[in-house]
Amino acid sequence: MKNNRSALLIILVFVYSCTTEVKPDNLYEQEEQVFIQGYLSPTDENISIYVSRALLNFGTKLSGNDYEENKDKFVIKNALVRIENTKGESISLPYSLENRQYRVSKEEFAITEGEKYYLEVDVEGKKFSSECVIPKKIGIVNTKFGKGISQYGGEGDFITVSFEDLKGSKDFYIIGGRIVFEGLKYEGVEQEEDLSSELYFGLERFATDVIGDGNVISSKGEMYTYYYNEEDNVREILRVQVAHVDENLYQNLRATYSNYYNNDNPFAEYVIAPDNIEGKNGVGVFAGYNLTEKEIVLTDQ
Amino acid sequence: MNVLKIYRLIGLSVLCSTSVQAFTSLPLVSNVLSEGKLKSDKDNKENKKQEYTVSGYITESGSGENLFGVSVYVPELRIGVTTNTYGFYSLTLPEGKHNLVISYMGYATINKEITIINDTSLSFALETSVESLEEVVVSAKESIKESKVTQMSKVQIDPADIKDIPALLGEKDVLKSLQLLPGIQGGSEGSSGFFVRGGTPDQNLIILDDAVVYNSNHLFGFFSVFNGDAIKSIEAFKGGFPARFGGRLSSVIKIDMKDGNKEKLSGKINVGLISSSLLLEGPINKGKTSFIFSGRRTYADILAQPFLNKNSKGGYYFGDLNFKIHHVFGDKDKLYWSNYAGRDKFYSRDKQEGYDYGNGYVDSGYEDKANLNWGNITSTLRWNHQFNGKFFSNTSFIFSNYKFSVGLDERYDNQKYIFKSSSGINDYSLKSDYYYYPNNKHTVRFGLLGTMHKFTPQRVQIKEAEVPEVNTTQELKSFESAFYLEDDYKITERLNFSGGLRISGFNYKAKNYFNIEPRIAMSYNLKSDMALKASYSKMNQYIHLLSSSGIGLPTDLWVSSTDQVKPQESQQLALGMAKDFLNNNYSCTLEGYYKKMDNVIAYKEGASFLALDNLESGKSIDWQENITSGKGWAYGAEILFRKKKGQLTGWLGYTLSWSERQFEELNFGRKFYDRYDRRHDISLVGIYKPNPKITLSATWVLSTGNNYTLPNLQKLPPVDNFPIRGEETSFYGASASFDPESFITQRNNFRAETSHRLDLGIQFIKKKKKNRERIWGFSLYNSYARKNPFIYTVSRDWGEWNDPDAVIENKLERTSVLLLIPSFNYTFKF
Repeated sequence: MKNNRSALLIILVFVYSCTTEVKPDNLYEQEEQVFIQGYLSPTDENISIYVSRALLNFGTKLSGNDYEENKDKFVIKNALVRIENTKGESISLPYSLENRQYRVSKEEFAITEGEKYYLEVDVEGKKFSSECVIPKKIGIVNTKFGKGISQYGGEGDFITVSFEDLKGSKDFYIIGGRIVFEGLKYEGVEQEEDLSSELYFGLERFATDVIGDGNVISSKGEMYTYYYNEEDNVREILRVQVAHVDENLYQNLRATYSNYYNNDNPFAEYVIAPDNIEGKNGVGVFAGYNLTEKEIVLTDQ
Repeated sequence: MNVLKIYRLIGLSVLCSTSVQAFTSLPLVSNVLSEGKLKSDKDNKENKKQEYTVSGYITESGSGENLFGVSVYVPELRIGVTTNTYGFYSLTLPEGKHNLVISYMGYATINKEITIINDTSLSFALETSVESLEEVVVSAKESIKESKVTQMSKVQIDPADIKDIPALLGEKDVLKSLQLLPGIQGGSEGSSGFFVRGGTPDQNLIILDDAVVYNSNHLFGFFSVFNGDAIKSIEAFKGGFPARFGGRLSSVIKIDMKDGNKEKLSGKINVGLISSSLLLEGPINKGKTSFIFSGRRTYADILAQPFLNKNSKGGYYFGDLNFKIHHVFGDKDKLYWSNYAGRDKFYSRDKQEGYDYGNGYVDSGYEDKANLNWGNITSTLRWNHQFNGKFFSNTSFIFSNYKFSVGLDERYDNQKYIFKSSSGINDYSLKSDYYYYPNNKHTVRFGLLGTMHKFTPQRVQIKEAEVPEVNTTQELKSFESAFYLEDDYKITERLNFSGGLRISGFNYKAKNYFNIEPRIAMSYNLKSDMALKASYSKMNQYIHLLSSSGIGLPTDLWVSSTDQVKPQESQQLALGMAKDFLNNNYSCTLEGYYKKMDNVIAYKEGASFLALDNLESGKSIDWQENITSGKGWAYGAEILFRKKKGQLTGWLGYTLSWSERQFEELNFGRKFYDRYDRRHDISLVGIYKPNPKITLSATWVLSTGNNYTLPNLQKLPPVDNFPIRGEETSFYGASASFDPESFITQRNNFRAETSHRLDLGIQFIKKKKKNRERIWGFSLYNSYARKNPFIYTVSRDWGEWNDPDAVIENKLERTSVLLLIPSFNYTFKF
């Protein structure tokens, strides 16, 4: 469909156009907002909540060289963050300098499937709250390999991921995965960290059960590989991932994807991401998910 | 007495008392009335002169074209009527001598003394003012006074004015000309999509000879499908809707094609910068049967062919065909068969070459072809029957089709990917309208309509190697019906009332919707040339357009009301004043309106049809899952000041308006201003004809900017707190990358800059022998090259990589199109 948009743009150019920078005055006058994001899952090693400032989109000057300084402009380090379950058990999350999030290990506080959790954040006396429920884990994930025309032209390798929708509820899924290359060498030296290549599902990364409750859901993605010497004995491990997610999480990721994908499409409207943070000038998403993974060693096949 | 009972039942008893006398002139009705009643009437008539009916048709001299809206007036009795769509009029006059004045804008007035001694059929042929210039000056050609009609919120535009108004690339455009009138707002720069009183484009009912035209745009909205050459009349209703119209919330644009010249073969050839057109009309059987044919095609694609690379071809064109036959069986029966077909096509073919050492560039085996087509087809067969001097009917069989299709064919050696998708709508309608003129106080209309809608929201076919073929079709059928009754009632000399009732129904599978839509309009003449007006109308809309952009892209999708999607509903109240000045040389209308809309629909966040990848996956996701319904409010005021006669004609229009929406699933459930909520719209139109050889014209428009949704904040979300990554997420984790994400907290949060432009036009007209004429027309669109906003884009400036003081900043850029576009066209009439 990019062809069609290109055609439209060509026609517009044909009728002569000119581009001028403008100042969106009313968008310079916004109250400061606190952005909070936390995705909870029983399959995560840590419980992480991110608390930061939302800066003006226009008129904010950030350093072109010091990205660490920029990050500190966003992050709020002195917030009080607490998570509580329905039994009244709670835990405070300390700020972690390493990853700029409020974080505890999963050993310190259990995240359980089907359980509801409450979030409380206090930023210099301003209180924000939210709640979420952890979705159930899906069952077996099936995979099928095939060939097709790559999005970059020529022949490409494809994978079709399918699974059964959980019955009796309105469900949202995120599908993805990656190929991890173990033992990959660069100029004869094995790399310290394994390189990985993400699977490309495009919009098919997002799936719901609108086609029918309990139906089989499938998504097709493209796989990319690195070129390496066969004698290096590289192991290609395919990790297919299907996350059953809260609707807010789904819509949040989809909004990010849509806005990214349509960034060069002047006719597409920006998508407004969901916001389930209570409290004045608080914005963000607190949501749960449950991940199912399937691992296939491609080099063994 | 049965007739009286029916009248009482439908709550229009006021109609009854004044209509009985008129009904007696109908043979059928008179038979059911009691003998006693007849006797009573006879007694009355002894004190009163016997009344008779004068009826007939008003046509254009030289062509035999029926003229609509012509005033037929008897000055001494202060009574008059206007001709209906088919040129028919009916007047009830007392026995004796009367002076009949027949007048119509642009035609010489006829003053005729008639003697009435029985029911009389009288038809007239009006000469155009050019042909009878002197007579016009003497008799002061008349037009209907705004203060004398009960109908409010209606604007008319003369097709002759459209030809004179300067247009983009010389393409005279009906819908763009309408946008110069208050209350009818254009979309973005150059677009012919329009918004009436805070409504959306799908809330406009556009009818061409009774057939609904679903997509009125060519070239993504830059031009409309209506080729002005074949158009006879254009009426636009913005409120105070008569009961005969329904099915849309915001406006009715009624466009009628010419019937064809019954006297002689004539035509017109127009050669323009981007298109050429041909009009041919004439008698098939002189005085009885006529035809009109009109065609238009753009030719940029043909001209560009020699300059295109042999491996990369592509082009775009649009074309229209109008064809109509009119046959007169006799005084009482006439048949019209009107047809329209229009099409836009974009196509491209691309073959990629690969470099082969020794052989240079060779065929790489990769080839892709793409095409995009859309268009309308309409066909209407109408039969007029005149039962008697007071009773007239029209029955129409109507077909309307809109289809959009997209195709993609990609091949690489043995691999192939073929994708075809289409959507559309087919309508089959039967409509019957009746006009009854019981006396000079009442004009009654009633009728029935039944339409079978067949929607194809999505048809997808995908063929791909090693993958099972996808072939899915979504189809839904629904049936829309309506009955209406309306009466224009002249209660007193000063007070006029127009009441109507429309009963509409809609069936989709087991779901039935049934609605009663009252329509009321009143006018009170404070003075002979000044009237106060008020109207109320309730409307229902059973079919909807899912629009991603509102700019009239062909991807916009027509869908039906279903058990989940309720019909849209609106109620509109309007108050106004109309004043005529200086012997009807000038008129001024002032109106205020308030419109409430319910069950209006919109795409859910991110569920735009522009994300066509949904289609490419071949998954038949129900469109109903992608939409949400909500409420809308529109209110404002409009002023239209018109100069109707003289060498200089034109108007000044001003609109002050607000338009708001609220959807539970959009903008966090908060109210927001609609994208096309515009506070001010001004249009100034002037057409100056110093002599018959030159026409000068100018239009100046100013409008507040549209609303856009732009990211107002930026955040830096962590990328490592969700395990599945997409291409929009950095691969390297939060600690290594820096890519703030822009986001939005309020829909339509940015008001675009104010637009204004001046268009100029000049035409040189030369009369030749045998009534031939040639016209050279030149126009300048946006003559002072104002950079009006067309689209806004957001980009991020990362600074220079080697600049130690580089800053990262988001920028907003405005793209403007159509700056100072000159054009010319040559027209030859014969």
